[in-house]
Amino acid sequence: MSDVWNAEYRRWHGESTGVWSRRLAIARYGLRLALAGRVIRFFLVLAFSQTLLLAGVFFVFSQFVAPESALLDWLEETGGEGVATLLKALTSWFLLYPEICVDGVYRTMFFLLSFSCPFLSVVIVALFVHRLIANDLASQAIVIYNSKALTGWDYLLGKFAIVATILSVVWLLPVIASWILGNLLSPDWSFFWHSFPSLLRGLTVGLVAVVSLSCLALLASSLARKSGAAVGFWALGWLVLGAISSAVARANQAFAYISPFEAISTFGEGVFRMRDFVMEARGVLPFFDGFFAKTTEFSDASQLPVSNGEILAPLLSLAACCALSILIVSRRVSEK
Amino acid sequence: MPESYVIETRGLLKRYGQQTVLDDVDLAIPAGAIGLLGPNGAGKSTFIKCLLQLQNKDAGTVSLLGNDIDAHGRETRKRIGYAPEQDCHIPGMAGCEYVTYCGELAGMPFEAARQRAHEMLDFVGMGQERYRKVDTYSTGMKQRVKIAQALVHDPDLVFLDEPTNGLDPKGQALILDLIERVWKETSISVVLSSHLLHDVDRICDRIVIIANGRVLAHDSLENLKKRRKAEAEIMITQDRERLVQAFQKRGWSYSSLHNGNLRVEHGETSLNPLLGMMREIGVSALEVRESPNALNELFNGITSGNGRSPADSPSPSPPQSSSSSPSSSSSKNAGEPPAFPETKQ
Repeated sequence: MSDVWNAEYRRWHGESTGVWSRRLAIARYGLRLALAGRVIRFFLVLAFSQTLLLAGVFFVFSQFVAPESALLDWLEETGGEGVATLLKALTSWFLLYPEICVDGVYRTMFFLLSFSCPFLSVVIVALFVHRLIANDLASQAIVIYNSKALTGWDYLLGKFAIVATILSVVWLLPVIASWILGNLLSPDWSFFWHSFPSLLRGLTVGLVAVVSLSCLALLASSLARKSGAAVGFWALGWLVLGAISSAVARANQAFAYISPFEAISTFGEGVFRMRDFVMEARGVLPFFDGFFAKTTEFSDASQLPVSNGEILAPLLSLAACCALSILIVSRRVSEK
Repeated sequence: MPESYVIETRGLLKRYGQQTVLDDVDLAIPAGAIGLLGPNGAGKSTFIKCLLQLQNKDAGTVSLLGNDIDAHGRETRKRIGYAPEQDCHIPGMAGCEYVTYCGELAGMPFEAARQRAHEMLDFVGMGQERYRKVDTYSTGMKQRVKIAQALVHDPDLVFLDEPTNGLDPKGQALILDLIERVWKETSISVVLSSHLLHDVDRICDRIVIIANGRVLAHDSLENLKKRRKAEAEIMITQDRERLVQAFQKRGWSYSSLHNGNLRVEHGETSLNPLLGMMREIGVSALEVRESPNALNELFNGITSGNGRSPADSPSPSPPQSSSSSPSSSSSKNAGEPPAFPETKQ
């Protein structure tokens, strides 16, 4: 010990890194701490497995238009003549209207993805929300951050990057990765063009969701000074906002957007515009109405329980939510 | 503004509601080992936090290392280290990981920060404990890690807020040794905040005394120790009247203290004239003690609760314990007359 104690102090003459490196350092260390548990890793794997599911659907779809598809041959052999006729009809349909069919399949799958993501987001964030800011406030580590070559905004950007990265695995990674995989497994390069608008829609909804949920996670974490309290704020926040939203929405539908999930959901509908898609498909594809009449309880495609939602009101609501969160969080972390 | 002043404040004001914690503080402190001395609640920590922008000041300007902290706060803090009084570790991190992380936050590349973290942990005397989580450390280890993280990026100025708090005497000595080495071996300016005179007296060459949010004194340790009032305290049991008459004859003002001793303002630079006069009239005292030096006097004044400088207060300081012998007391020469409070160097 005495040898160690007598260690000499040496000056350091290296080059300092830029402020983005310092912000990234916060994100890197924060991610390491956030992902330390097994449960969160399990849920992230579960979230990522959506990629494989989507890619599988896209692959199966692409096999309908693939020449000499072994999958189609197998289905025709096992399903009999009826299935073979239906498959041939679908194949012809896909080949005749690829811009509708390809975009439709990708758009529908990405739309369905937006139903599972909120649940996964709530669970995953609940598993690490206390490690974002609450722990720093509880352990007074916030003083160390503030005394270094960082501003409060640098700290918040670093923390935001942690939660945004993890939520991107839920919202964005499945969209991007399944789109790439689906197109790589498709028989035709035209799939890239026809599915590209769906990718943009999926990314738009994902980005809005990631940004708004990240801000809310930071808010929940900054309000608590104990780990358990942060998780409680996060979980109770959703329940309370959901309940309030349901109650006040009876007075005015716009109040429903008090709940961020309601706002994200409606925004997603507005971006994916599934009703428009169905109506467009009905206009272009002659037997669309009949097809739906046979396969669903609805006599007309316009009766399908999908809406076009709206974009502006939920987006404004989410923007207000983010602004309020940032304001509160910045005050919380700069409180002395 | 020359960088010869590592800290310069003008009109620094900080209030918590109605309470003024820092009251118009003007300071210009050159590089060195600086002791920030004052009782608990005097405003030392607030002063440091205002310098580092950890707390918002209500008025005034602050320059650290020649840079205006309001205009260049982030870049200036790159060159500054800070070890706060309270525990401030990040839960779940091992000691070496924590110090590396702090190095990165201060602007070091990862590899350099990691290497430097180990060097600093060696420097503060941490062995294999560095691989344990900081949450499990003892108070002494936490203090060392705090100092290591404050030094990891090789700052030019380090603030150490009560670094010996909660340590046993051996631990205190080790930490003080370490702080002393930082200034003496590396010329890194150290600001040591403490409510213990012993701590700053031992390692600092410059002292700032703060009480009630005001700077009571700021000078080199040497000057503060030289400065004394031309006063003496006399413990006497016999011939008290004769001595008083002698004081009156010479025109020296005097007063009786609570403990029965006499305090006389002899106005001389040493005790020799007073002792000579007592010999002439044949009065012998049990003890003759010169007034405490400025550092002790200020410190005793603020720790006894009045928080006022001697210059502010005409009343004498509370009597000291009478343990020293007359010979040792009288051997010290009095210095210049006091000139407190001095807030600008």
